[in-house]
Amino acid sequence: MNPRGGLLLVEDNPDDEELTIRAFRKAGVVNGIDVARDGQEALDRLLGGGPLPSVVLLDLKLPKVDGLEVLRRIRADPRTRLLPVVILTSSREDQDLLRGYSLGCNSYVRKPVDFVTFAESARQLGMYWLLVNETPPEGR
Amino acid sequence: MGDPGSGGGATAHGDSPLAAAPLAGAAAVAAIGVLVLAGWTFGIEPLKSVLPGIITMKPNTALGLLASGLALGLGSLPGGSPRRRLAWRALALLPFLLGVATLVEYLAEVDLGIDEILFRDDPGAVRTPFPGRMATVTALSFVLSSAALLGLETGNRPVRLLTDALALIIVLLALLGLLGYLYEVEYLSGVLGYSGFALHTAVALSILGLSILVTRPGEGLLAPFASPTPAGAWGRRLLAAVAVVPVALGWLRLEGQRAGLYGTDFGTSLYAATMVLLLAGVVYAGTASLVREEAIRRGVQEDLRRAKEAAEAAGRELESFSYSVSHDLRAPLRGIDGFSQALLEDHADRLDDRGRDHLQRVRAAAQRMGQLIDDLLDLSRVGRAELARERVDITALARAVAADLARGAPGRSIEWIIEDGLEAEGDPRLLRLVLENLLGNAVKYSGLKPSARIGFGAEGAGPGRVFTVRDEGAGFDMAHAGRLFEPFQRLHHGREFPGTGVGLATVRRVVTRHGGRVWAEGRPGEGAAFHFTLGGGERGAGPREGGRNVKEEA
Repeated sequence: MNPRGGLLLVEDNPDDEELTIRAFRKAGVVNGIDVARDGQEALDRLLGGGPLPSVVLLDLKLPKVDGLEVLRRIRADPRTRLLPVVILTSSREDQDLLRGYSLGCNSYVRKPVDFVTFAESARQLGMYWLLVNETPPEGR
Repeated sequence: MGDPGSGGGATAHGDSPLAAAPLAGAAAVAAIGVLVLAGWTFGIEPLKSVLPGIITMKPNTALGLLASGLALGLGSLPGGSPRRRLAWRALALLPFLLGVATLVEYLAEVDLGIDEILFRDDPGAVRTPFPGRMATVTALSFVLSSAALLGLETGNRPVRLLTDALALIIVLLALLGLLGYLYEVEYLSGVLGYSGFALHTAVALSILGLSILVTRPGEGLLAPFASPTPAGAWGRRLLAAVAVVPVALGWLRLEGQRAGLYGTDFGTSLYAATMVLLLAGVVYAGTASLVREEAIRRGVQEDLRRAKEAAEAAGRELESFSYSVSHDLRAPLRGIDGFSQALLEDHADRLDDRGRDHLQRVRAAAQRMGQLIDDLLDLSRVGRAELARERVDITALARAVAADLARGAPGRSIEWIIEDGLEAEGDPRLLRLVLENLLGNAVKYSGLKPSARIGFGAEGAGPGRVFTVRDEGAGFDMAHAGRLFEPFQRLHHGREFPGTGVGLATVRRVVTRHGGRVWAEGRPGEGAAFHFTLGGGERGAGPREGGRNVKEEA
């Protein structure tokens, strides 16, 4: 009923992209990491009708359409409104946290500078959202 | 009322421009009493009646004035022992008794034998139906002024207003007496019966009444005139004009009529027309001044509005700057740290020890920079954040912070001594920041000793309560304490105790935003104590512990 998709990483910074993928790979998440490099691409991918990922990892500062707007449109579409979205960003500014949660993100994770710590966060994220967490039933 | 006692020139003392007036008035009144008594003692006629052939001031009146003057003087001196208050009351009561007894004599048509108790009156004294007896109006004035003097003692506003009303009646009566002399009419004998004021009685009573009005004028009817503001000064000038000009006009009018220039009807019309002009002039001056003030006030408001807008714009700019720092400055650091780590992990075999050490240093530097950015953002957030005010369980907060710190320093032996039941008004998030920094510092700077003891407690109560974090760690030299709370200033080498130098600046900002103060004391190698308050409170709740040096920070 509920086929497990992969993970959609929405990230414009190629360094962060590579480091994030590296962190997930180290955590054992090898397959199914998809990358969208700006907000528009992420929306095309998610709202275009194709299969949905298990979780979206969303950066906030993105070219074209920013992360919060991406989140808003995901929540506005009936097909994706329950899709798990984890904000994964540099900022821990109050306004980002507040807006993120107000728009209905499922989790908010800050990317630390220290890669070792980041790798540990990625491991926990992958473990939780891809293995532990049950995704909502398709369609509703 | 160009009386010497109106005190227009007494601007030198105190914050009120009228502060010295009551004492000067009291001295004048008492002096008049003394001079007249001397006149009676030595038979000096000018002292008894000022001008030859007019009514004399009776000895009892002089005595009453002396007592009133002394009472007023005692009342306007600052401070006051119970003994002085007793003397004051007795002195204020004497004229009252004299006045009442005299009125009884007039009304009951009896002679109580008090009129000539001091001196025998001159035979054939002018307008004196009963030898040595003071005038009814003088007796009445004494009753009123004594009541007013006694009323001055209270700080109760309704009583004070009543006191001032009595004083105004005295001034009115005395002014009528003075005008009688000025206009050379003897209406008082007709209106109030039997006899009128002596000239110097009228002068002394008007001084007395005015002095009562200007005693602690901020509490009474005259509060607006006593104001040290330009408006107060302007009001005092206007009052002087209003007091002098109608009197002069009335005199001119009477003189003109007496010279046969016009009759009563035209004289009255002339007086009325001139008064209309005068009052119109006063109203004009008042309105013009109000309009001017209004324009200035508007200008100031406009400036204030612009300044506020500029500050808000600056605030918004700072907000977007911090936002951008938070997002953009950290991303490259993550790249530096992450790829250095990738090199270490993937290519360790192609690096020698030196190379690996260099990469570790690159990583450490990137992480330090990341910490610096975080601390800076914390500091800026403390300045920007809306301040919540609620009751905070400081003891629980300190214990939670201590537990976090202990978890972060495994293997360290730390004895925490945290006082029970501490509470404060403040922003819980910001207060947590304060404790994190102060307790964190205590842990850090105790690091060179095998075991650490860290205390947190408070002294005093209310908003001035002093909270203290105390450790027995590295301490610091008080000579450099001034730099302690400045951002990026450190007293220790990073090698010894790592840190960014933002923590105490953050603490100071939080404490200052709460309206409190923070200060520190310490000795190298013996530990440090950081004290802070979270609100104005009494100023006395400052640095204590007399023997040691103390550095204060706002």
